[in-house]
Amino acid sequence: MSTPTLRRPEIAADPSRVRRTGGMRIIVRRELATKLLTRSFAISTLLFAFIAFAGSLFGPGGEDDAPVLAYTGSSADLATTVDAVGGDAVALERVVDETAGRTLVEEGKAGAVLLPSESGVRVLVQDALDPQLGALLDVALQERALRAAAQEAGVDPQVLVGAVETTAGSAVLDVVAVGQDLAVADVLLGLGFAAGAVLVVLLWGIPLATDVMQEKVSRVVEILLTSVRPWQLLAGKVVATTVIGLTQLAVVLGATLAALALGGSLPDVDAVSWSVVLAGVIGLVLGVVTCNTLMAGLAARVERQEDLSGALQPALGLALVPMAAASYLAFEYAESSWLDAASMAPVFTTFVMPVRLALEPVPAWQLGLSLAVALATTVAAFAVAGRVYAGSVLRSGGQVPLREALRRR
Amino acid sequence: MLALHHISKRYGPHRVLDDVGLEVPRGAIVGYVGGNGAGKTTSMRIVLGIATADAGRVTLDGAPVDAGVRARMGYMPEERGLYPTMQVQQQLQFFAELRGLSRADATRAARYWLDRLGLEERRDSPLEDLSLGNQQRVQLAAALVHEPDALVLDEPFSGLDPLAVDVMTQVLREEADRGIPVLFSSHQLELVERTCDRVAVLQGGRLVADGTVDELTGVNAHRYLLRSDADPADWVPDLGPAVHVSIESVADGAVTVRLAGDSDLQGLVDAVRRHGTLRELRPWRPSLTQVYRDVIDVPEQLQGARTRPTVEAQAS
Repeated sequence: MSTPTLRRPEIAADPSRVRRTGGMRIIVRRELATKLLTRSFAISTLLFAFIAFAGSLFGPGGEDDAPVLAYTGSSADLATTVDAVGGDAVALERVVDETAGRTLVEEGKAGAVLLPSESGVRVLVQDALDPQLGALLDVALQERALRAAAQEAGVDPQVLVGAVETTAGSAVLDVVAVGQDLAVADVLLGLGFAAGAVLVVLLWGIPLATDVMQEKVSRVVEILLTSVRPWQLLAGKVVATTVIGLTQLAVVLGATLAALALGGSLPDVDAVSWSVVLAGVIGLVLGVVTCNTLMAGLAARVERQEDLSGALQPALGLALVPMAAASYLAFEYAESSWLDAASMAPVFTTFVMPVRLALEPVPAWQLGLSLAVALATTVAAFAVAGRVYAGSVLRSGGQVPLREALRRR
Repeated sequence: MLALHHISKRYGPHRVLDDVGLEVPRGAIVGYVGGNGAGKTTSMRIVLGIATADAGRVTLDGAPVDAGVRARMGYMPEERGLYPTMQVQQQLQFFAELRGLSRADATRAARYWLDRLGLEERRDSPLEDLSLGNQQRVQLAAALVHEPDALVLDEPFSGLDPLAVDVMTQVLREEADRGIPVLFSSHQLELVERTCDRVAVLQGGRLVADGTVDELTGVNAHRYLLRSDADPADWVPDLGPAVHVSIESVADGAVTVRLAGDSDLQGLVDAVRRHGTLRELRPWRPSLTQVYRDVIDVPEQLQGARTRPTVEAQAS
């Protein structure tokens, strides 16, 4: 048992080491040591990375994603024009008649069927016309009308086309499909960051919340709070969890890019893409920190696992609603002022601004405002969560009502 | 000296602590006893700043206990507060660093306490792999690892085997001998009697007794064991109106008699002999448990359940 000859070591405690960020750093180190530098983290991260790598290398290529336009013999002329205008952005499939085309659309094998009509062209779709197909059809119709008008005026259409193609601002340069295609890639890139934030919050925010609850139940927190302030403990846990989640996401993303590079299908990156990436990374970090902070604060209110999910709903909502809004606005209201407003609104800005950048040029002042709002949202979330945490984590005896948790003591 | 001054605390309509004053001198071990819900844990949590008092203050050597002072205290909560899956040594180092030790000092201190408490073989084990007794030793080590200026331990002995109790007792004495105040709560009164220099009894949020073990067990009080065939109900009235006696029956028909103040022992002898034969009369030192029962107001409905009922009588 005890060894009488043991000598008590000479030690010197200096409380200033624990003040402010000092205490927070100690909390961060413990969280990283027990969650990041572990075998289970390494295994799960490698597994995710492997799945991402294999999926990107052997999964379906981007060419298959081009929308399929079916056409009948009587609409072949316009289909040929669409093909000439769209290039790889559209895939054509000839069908025998309208019935065969309708079947393809119903089975989801074609995005639309091109049919002749008395007034011009009839397009058969399942629900709504794919925007990319719609843009191509517009251009093709314009070109066909131009050819017809030229012929009526006695101008050789080929000469006209040749002249147009050599003129700046020509119809070919005006082919929206080219620009539209790149925008879609950037929109998906922007949404990818939003999805990444949601993924990190779901994968790591919920365990963080569980951890906070367990510290409360086991009363570890009582010992911790005799040394550090609640905000230090909360901040340390949130920072560490965010680092862990983003590390895992970065590894998975790296594996995906490596697979794309191996397959020779790395997407082209231009200035717009880089701006989306920059805004996306900032939005991702701030979005994750905000949601994780709120989740940790709200989790301190409860003592039982079955109460936890209900307590976390507001924080999960703050991740999922802006994510859904970003997708909806990008595809349905890309031209509306709703997108502009959402890209600068608290909570939404981190998810929506990267998508908006992919769709249109954004004035610098709006970018600055967006960043300021995002930072202010994070600070406000920390203030609210810190208050809820401090007002709840030492209280036992059931779920602490939010109003009581927020009450000034 | 660690001191609580006029501490009061309410939770809603329930008064948990009522004007509690308690002193824990440096170098002394003070046992804090009382029934469940008496307010022991709440007052300890107030000392550590985990709960806030509605009134009163806590001082260490006369200075208010603030965050800086609390960081220099050692605390062991009743419901053990450690991380189940974290390695033992890693855990102690973490708590030591949180108390302001450098990493090197934290490592050395953690190693020392693991060796001191016989846990050197388990330093790399997750806490949950240890027996409950060993987990409790780790908890004690966590409270001591930064060489605290005061120790506050809530039920440190509960669930310990006799060997672990001896180790814990020895360690607490060493810490007190280092010159720090040690306050611990316990329901094990024999242990408190054996270990503590002073004892404070809390009941219903009020401090009802406080003193050295000798003072409380009444070295100076006039307590006697009396064996007689006379019924106390017959001879107590003969003692006269000025004599206040407390009578508690013990084994084999004997009773203990506490005469208040300067009561005349001969008067007691005469009174008993008038109603029967006095077979034995000798000084009696009660245990702390008996003293505890004396000072705690036991609800009437519980008194009938006691095997050794206490009778408080005012001679008339």
